[in-house]
Amino acid sequence: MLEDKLLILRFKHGSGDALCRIYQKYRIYLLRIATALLNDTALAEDVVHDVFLRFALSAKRIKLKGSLKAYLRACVVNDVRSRARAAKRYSCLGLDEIEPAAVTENESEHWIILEEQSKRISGALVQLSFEQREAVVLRLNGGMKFREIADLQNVSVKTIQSRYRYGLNKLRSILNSEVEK
Amino acid sequence: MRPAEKIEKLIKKFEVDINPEKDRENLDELLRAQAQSIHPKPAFSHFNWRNIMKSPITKFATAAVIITAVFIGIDQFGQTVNLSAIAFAEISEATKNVSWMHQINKGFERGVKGKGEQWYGFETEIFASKPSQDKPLFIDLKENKRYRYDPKHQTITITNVDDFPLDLSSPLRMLESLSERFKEQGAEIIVKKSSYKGQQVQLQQISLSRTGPNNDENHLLRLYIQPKTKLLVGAEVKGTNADGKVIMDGEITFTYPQTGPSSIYDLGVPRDAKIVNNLPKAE
Repeated sequence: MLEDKLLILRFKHGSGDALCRIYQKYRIYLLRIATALLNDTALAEDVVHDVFLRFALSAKRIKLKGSLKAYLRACVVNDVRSRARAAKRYSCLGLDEIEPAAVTENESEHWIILEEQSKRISGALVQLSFEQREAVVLRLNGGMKFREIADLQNVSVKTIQSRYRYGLNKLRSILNSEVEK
Repeated sequence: MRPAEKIEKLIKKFEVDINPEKDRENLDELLRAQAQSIHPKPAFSHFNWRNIMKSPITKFATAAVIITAVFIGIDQFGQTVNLSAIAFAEISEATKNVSWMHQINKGFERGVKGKGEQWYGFETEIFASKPSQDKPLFIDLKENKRYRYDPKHQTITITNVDDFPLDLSSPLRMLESLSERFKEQGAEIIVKKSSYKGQQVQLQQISLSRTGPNNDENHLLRLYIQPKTKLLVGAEVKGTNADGKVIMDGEITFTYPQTGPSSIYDLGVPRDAKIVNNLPKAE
């Protein structure tokens, strides 16, 4: 936390090293959240890159009220919602529509590389409603507290806990074979 | 271990790895953007987003016009353009056969939601706009006439076209007057492969940073170009203020029909609407 405050201070004074450190510190964390929420690596790359780009452009003007990590995460989640809406990815897919996480043919040109297990998890997550997926991903992959997720989604903690529980139950039935191994 | 704990443990195993080369490219771009924001180039004097948004055309339509402008005029922007994927000469060439462009747009700007559709006739020099919650507009530049329908009073008001910002005689000419302005503003542009509605496309991403008293905003334009036809198929525009709050978010899709509206009645305006002729008497 203290490191982030110093990084932001240096970043606001135009330090490229500070921007590098912030980027290296949070890019994988943000990519993980975006990819798990979107099940589309190309879109996830765009979201995270856009967030960092806007962040870099705002060097002299940014006014952080909370933590840097929470700020970047909120930017990613908001962008994901916007893009998911545009791509109509909110809808829950049927079981016969499951596809592995969308990865473009030539991975060498792309930022994100997904291992087989992560593709399967992503394929399962996309079958949840977006609200359930968001609760599960932000809790388990984003390390957020239920209270923080509730604030982000503007609902009660109980609602988030319920979405999380129902989401896990559904994932368990989808991924049953992996869990039993 | 309880079943819930097993599934939690499994989901936590979701990990992403990154391509180091692409990672370095991205970081380089961020560093350039940061440098640009610290030493901004002079802002527009007379042609900027805010002024454009005040134009008589629907806000999103105008945003889309600008995006369209970038789509052909992008190669004039400056030195940061990576032209590796599609040559812009090809894009310009592709538009020579475009007689009409149709766009559907939706989104919000400073809390105001909007959606609608527009047509640009390049041979006919016609602009038509059919916003969902606003007044249909039909402009015939050859005739120098603007028709606006007022659904409340069921009237069509005809005036001269005094302030239309674009030259519609050809797609290229429409863009020439605009591209120079973007160059002045120092837009940062990257080109890369992406996906758009399930298709592989080329993404042109343009970032603009505006500075000034109480006016610090970042705008990001994303243009999706179909590799085979070299035509723009979709665009997104996003604006954030200094706090990172999204103040503008729009999505636009483009098609290239053979024909377009030939009068304001083709926009759904009733034929019995009363005509209010505000043309100068000589007309």
